[in-house]
Amino acid sequence: MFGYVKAYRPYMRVCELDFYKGVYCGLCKKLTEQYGFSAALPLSYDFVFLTILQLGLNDTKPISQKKRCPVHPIRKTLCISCEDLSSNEFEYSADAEVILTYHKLCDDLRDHGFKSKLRAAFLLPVMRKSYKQAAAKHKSLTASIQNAMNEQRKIERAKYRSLDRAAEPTATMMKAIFREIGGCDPDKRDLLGQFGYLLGRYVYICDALDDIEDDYKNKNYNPLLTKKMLSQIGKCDKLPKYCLIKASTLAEQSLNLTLGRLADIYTEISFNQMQPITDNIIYLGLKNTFFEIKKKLLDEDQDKIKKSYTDKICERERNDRSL
Amino acid sequence: MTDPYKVLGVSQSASDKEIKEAYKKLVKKYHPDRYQDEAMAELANEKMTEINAAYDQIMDERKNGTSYYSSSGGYSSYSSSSSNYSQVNYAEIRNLIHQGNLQAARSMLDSVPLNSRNAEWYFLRGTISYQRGWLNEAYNDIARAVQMDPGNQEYRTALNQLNQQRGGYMRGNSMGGNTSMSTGDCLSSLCIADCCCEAMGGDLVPCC
Repeated sequence: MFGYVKAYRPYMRVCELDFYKGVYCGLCKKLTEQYGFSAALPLSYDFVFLTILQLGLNDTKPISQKKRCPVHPIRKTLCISCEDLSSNEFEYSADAEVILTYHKLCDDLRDHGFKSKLRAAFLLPVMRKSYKQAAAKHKSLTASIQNAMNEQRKIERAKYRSLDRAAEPTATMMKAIFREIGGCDPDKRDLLGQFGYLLGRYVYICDALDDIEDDYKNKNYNPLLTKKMLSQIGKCDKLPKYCLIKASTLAEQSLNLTLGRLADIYTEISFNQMQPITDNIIYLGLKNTFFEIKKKLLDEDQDKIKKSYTDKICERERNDRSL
Repeated sequence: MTDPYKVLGVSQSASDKEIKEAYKKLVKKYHPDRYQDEAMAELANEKMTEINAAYDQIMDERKNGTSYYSSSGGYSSYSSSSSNYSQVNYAEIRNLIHQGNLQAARSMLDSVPLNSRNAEWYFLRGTISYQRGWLNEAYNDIARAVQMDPGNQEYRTALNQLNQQRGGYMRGNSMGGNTSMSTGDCLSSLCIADCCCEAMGGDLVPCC
């Protein structure tokens, strides 16, 4: 869940946005306290969502304090934490972040671009110790994530065309993370597991569409690239526009099916006082993130055309003037 | 790997309900909050992790059929008994789906030979895919069921619901449509969904 699960901020009330940012601050503080500053570096808002879900599920009373943060040394910011020391919402999110990020970095080191390889090579050694600590606390979760990563690699090698099958490892991984927050209630465990599964599917589809151009260029596996599109490799170095439209339509339909089912399950669980924020994320944030990816993909060409067009006009004007 | 059924103390043929009951009983017994002593709480915590893992594993196996038992038997009795059937027992498959035993239902469906797979077969396979979250395959199967038997109300209702979700509907959404999606988009996708439905005999928007 790397940066795809987040709120749509223009539709948040000010107090909600403050709280949302405050949870990020609290989580970052928790990470620094437990695992050191390096663990807090790759923190994304996805884990804020995980924390907020738990706060809602357990109906925990959070406390907010103004604290200073090394990132903004001048003004104090709102920071959310838990009064009750026995409640472990922040702790679980912090652990999950460390485990997931570590595995993701291992994956980056194996087969991604130069930039992410460099980042992974730099971050991995610093994170190893924290990873071992967190993994010892959550053995079965770590095993599920490890398993999912191996499955992912298998699928990438076998190059399955089915999007359902391709999304399975990410989805089961998220299932493992989310059902833990159901605690010891079997029905909640099942529901949250399904919720996590569908959210994982969502993340996978977003990621696949986001990476489609790079994957085409580097001849990497991507379930949104059909055989016909792959046959274009060699003929043109960039994926033609009509292929992009086709791929994004497939992604959108699959994504909508996923979100429709996700909403069915979401309405069966109560998140108490956190409902306004979770509603925003589920109903607006998720779709908005996807539309941003789609827009970026489809408009990029137009921007370039526009740019070359304006360049031409400028040139002509310059020529006119020189004449 | 320990047998998850042994951890919960139930037999492999136990229903989902029985498993939940057994799980709840164990939770009552081992919940770490019940122990004041730190060493005992630590032990209870470990036991709880094991119980949770066993419960999750059983539920996953029943849903996805990724069981390590599946190859060694378990439900294989179904496929052997149904290989000499004259009529496929769809009622029993439905019953299994209802109970949440998707793996058994799936292996019964798989044993039906290719040439006798009818609309109901595709509908049921679609339902299983839907339950386990393979939504694209679910959509294709259910659309196929409607195509093969356009008069069936059950299949059509299911497809209509899927088409609504495919067009962006989310239950319980009080936030309105997506802000970056114009109403034109919304309507056109609804119209397309409606056309698809009408082509298959259903109707999503009665006025057009």
